[in-house]
Amino acid sequence: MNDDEFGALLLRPLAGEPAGPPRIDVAKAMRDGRKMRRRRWWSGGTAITAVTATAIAGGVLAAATEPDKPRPDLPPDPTMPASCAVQRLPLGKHPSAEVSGGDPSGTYLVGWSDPVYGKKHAVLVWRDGKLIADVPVPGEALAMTDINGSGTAVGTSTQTPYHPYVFRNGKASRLRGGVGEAIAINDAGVIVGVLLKGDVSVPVRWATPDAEPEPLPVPAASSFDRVTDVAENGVIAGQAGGPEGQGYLWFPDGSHRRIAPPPVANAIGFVPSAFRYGWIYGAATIRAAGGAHSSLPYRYEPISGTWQPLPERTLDEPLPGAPNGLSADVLRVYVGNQRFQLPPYDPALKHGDAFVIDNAGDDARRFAGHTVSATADPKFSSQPLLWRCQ
Amino acid sequence: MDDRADAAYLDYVHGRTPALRRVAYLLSGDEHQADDLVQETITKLYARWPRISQVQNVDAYVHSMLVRVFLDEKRRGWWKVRLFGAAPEPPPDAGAALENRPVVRAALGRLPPRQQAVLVLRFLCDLPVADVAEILDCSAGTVKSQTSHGLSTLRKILGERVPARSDGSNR
Repeated sequence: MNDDEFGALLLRPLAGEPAGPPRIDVAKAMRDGRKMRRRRWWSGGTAITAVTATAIAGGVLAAATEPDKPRPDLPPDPTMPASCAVQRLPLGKHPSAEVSGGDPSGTYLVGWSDPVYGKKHAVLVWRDGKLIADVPVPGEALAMTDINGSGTAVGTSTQTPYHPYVFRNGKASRLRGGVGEAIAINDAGVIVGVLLKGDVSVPVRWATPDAEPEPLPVPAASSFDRVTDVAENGVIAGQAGGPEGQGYLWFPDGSHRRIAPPPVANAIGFVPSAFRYGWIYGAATIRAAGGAHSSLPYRYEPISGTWQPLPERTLDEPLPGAPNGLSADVLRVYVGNQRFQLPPYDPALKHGDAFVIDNAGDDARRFAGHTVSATADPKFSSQPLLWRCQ
Repeated sequence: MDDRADAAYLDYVHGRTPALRRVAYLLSGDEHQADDLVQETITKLYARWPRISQVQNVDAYVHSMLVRVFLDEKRRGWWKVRLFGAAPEPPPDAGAALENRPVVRAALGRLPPRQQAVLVLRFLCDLPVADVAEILDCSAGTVKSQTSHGLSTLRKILGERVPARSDGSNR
């Protein structure tokens, strides 16, 4: 009997599978993982903090110390909905699907079927809550990220090396530029994403789905550089210029600048999540005692440089348009600078599972998201949901 | 919106958790500890997820993380034993049946953690030497020598008996 056979026979009694359901808490893993990211990225960041403090004084603090100046003309917030009803979006023949993006009006939603790693996905598009496209992509499984008001969507293949894709007229095609990700598209058809060049991720803009990618200028290339969203006026938000947490803006005229952190004690960075209601919603990184870091939700109006703190959320509460975590018990979203509670989707709550909110319409009358297993239970089927509000 | 990263992470975790739990269970021999290992692995995975697109073989990378968490846990375990004076596991009874799961688990538990991982990956997860080498970030030669050392130690612990094949023979 050789070693291989001996080993296999000897260890045979230890073979088996865990019998019980998983005791895994995915939301906690994301919370704790996010803290680990901050610890790693901000360790030794003293020099960056000093630069931040100087940069703040220009735009934001000046506004705070000159009360006589007229207030900037800020974009109006939508009115708070009075009531909402939730429906499960149609899935076609698929057992599960998730909705992962929507256009600013909330009319078009995009997602994909069977959202489990390793499975083949079909691209799904809904218009006004009706499934209008259910298209498998030969040879690739695409995770869709955004869609615009013409029904053109973008996404990325889910097997490495990732490639950015555009989906229009029922067909998916690769964007130019090679390995990378397509992250957002606006109604003008401008797509933003990143391309990988060696170990560095390069933020890029495709002026149209057929255009060559244009690299967005960054102060110093790093593997943390990325874009987050593109507004309807062409302004692009992302992170660049050092450790993750350095918010950055690129304007359609070619100018670009860092987003200085909000004027709050010990703020050392700002992580943009999404454009909504004319603002950039995101999280300010706050240096806490003992070198730890925490987050505070803020929104930033890039034209006037105005900051507004948002009602404090738990880390699990999503920012508008950005599923920054799982929402297990209370489904709250930001409408303007206030929080609004969505009614739960009862059939999913019976499983004790969680939700991800993926899209908020600019009039705060449509919200979309999906259910997700908080314990990574493989038997759970994600269901795409649409809340219509009045 | 930049939701691809979180969405892709969730899809990966939901798709691969059963496989990760199985490997963790085979490594640790305990269902609760297996879930703890997976929990810590997916936490570290989330922390690194933004850069995961640069990894060619995500599964091998994640299994590597899981094994490293297991090895770290073993190291911490030994530290706890020294600090708190907990009683070590009793040695296995050399006369007990080789088909007895606790006996084999106890014997395996007396090997250095890295040798435990090599034997589990090779003989319980049925991974080829090259895959085990990639997961443990070492050479194929090291995997072979650790296999040989591990089996040799198990022979010493359990006696020079040979486990029976399924047909009852042991030659």
